Formats: sequence, structure tokens, C-alpha cells
Amino acid sequence: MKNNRIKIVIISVFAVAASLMTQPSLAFYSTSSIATNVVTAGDINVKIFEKTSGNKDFPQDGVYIMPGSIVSKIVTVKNTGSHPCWLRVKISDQNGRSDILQDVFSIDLNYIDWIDGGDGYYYYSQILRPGRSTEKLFSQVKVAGNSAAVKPESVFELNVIAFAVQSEHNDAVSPLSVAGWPAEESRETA
Amino acid sequence: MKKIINIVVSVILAVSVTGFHAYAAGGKVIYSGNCGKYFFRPGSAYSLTDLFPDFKGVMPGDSLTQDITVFNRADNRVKVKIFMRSLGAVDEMSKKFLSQLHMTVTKLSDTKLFDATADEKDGLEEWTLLGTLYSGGKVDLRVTLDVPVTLDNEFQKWVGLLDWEFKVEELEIEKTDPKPPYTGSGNILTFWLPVCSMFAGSVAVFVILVKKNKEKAVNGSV
Repeated sequence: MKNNRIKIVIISVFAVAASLMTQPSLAFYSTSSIATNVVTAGDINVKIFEKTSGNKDFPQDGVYIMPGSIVSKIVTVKNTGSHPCWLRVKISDQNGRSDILQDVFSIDLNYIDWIDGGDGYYYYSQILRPGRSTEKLFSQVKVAGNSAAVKPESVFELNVIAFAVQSEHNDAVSPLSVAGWPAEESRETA
Repeated sequence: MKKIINIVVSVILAVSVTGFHAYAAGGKVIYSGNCGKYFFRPGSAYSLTDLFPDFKGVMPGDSLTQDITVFNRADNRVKVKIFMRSLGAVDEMSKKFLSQLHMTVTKLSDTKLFDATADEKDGLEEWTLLGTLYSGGKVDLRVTLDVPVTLDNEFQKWVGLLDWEFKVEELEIEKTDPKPPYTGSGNILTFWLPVCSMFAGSVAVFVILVKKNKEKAVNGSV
């Protein structure tokens, strides 16, 4: 009887030890987890700034003009995005016509830094880096003195519309030969 | 003396900042082995498990590379088989965007696992074994992304989500396996010490029982 009890104890001890020693092989398992990876597309952003000679913002509601008067209006464009870009602008009236510059207004266009493309656009001569602003497009607007178009109570708009396209992977010897300009509806207007 | 200290501190800071930048550059999948825990680094504002830090703000014409390292940080008792598969684009918007981009996934110094538009599953549709890793082991993946120069303007600022699933199977270390490096995980203390204590305790109880039985037998005979 006593011998049996001793045998049981011995067997129990070895069973416990054996089970503990083999524990690792029972714990193996498989597990999985998901990584959600993200690709985002960049963009090109520019903003037009209009200032007066006193470095104040040009009035949003416009200014009163008289025939022959000169209005201070300094126009620059800033690259507010994170990629460099080529830039061009269009100057027109509220109907999208560019001949307002002949009939009503004349401007002192900066032909050193901007190029008249002859296609209705003025092209900035160099790549505009992120955070940088262009040299001024023009700094003053002169109202025609004897134009028949300038009548009392008339309202004129002089819109500057900017178009930008990425310069990365868009090699060009001149801004005039750059490809991929955006359509007229995707634009920055002032 | 102060100057020297300042210079030394500056150099240490510069090195540590540079070091951190280098560390943060790639994607990392870390299997800790602790209750099957995975860590995905570095994550992003879009997803905490994002492995593509270098695929942000992609532009038409870009050809980008993203290195991803998969680590086994489980302890020495096991080796792990690590698999991955692509679950594809998460939603329709992601699919529309990612289908414009071309992606490859290559196990470095090995075969190409994936070569298709980014929304597809291609060679990663089924579980693909990346490798059998011992503790401290790793496998390197290289992901390339080509953005066509003709990508339409409408995709500006788009976001594409792509799910990858990782699976680990833990296996027992065999005698024929190379000896894994010591990871400092304290295997001896955490496993063998309790086993030995239990065994020693059991033997002590056994000896005491035998002694008591002998004493009883002696007393009985007297």
C-alpha cells in the first residue's frame, strides 16, 4: 500500500516536471494584424496679393476713379504650396476681355520679370519656389483720360487670374514652352 | 571649459537629431511576440499603422522608393514565419486614385512580390512568406511608386488607403537551428527557474514523505 503511494508521488512529480518542460511547444500560435498605408497626392497652390503704395491691402470694394487718374495697385503672386511651379497670369475685365487694357486702363507691366506670351497670358520668367513671391506684375493703373468708355457711374473690373503648373518633371527651356497649364476654371483670381 | 561642453552638447544633439531623422525615414513592422503584438512605424496623421512616410504629397512624374523593414523582436524561445498579403484599396475613392499609380514590392536581394497598379493585389493576393526569422532577425522590403506624368488635375490632394495584412506563425526552435543571439529577454530566469524550483520542491516533499514512512515503520516495529 505504502509502496503504491510512493510510486504515485514519484510519477506525479515527474509528470508535473515534464508538463512544465514541454510548455513552450504548447504555446505556439499564429497572429495577424493590418497596416493601413496611405498615399497622398500633392497639389499646387498660389495666391495673388494686391497692395497699395502704402503696403496696405487694395480695397476689396474697389476705388473711385476719374479720367486720367493713377491708382496704386501692386500685384504679386506667392507660391503657398509645397512644390515649385511655373506661373502665368491673365489680365481681363469682368467679361474676360483683355482689351480693357487698351480702352480704359494702362498698366506699368514689369517686362523684366514677366514675359508677354502674345497669347493673352503673361508668363513669370522663372520657377516660383514654395513660399516665395514673384516680382511685382505691375504697380499702378492709369485711367484713360479721353476714352469714350469712361463715363460717369461706370464700373470697371481689372481682374488678374493666375495659373500655375508644377515645374518638377516639367522641364522647359522657357516658361513659354511649359506643358500642362490648368484649364481656366481652376485658377486663382484677384 | 564651458565652450567645450557647449560644443560637445551641440555635437551630441546634432548627431541625435540626425540619427532620429534617419530612423524615422523608413517604414517598420515590429513583431514583439508579446501576446502577438505588432507595431507599425512611423504611422501618420491619416493612419496610425501607415508604413509609407515617403509617399506623401506625390506629384505627377514622381518615382519614389519606400524601404520597409520587418523585425522579429520575439524572445529566443521561438522562431517566426512572417507572411504578408495585400487586401487592396480600402474604399472606392482610394481605388480610383491608387489605380492611377504603379507600385512594386520587392523583398531585397530576392524576388519581386508585387508589380501592378497600387490598388491591385497582384502577387500579394495570397499569404506570401517573407521569411523565417529568429529573434532579432529582419527582412527588408522595397516599395516603389511611379506616378504618371499624365495624372489628372482632379487627383490633387487625393488620399489613397491601402491595406496590408501581416501574419506571424511562431515555431519551436529545433536542435538543427542556428543558435539564436541572446536578446536579454531573461529566458533562463522566467522559464527554467520556476521549473527547477518546482522539481526541487517536489523532490524535497518526496524525501520527507519517505523519511516519515521510515520513521513510522521503525516506531511501529518498536
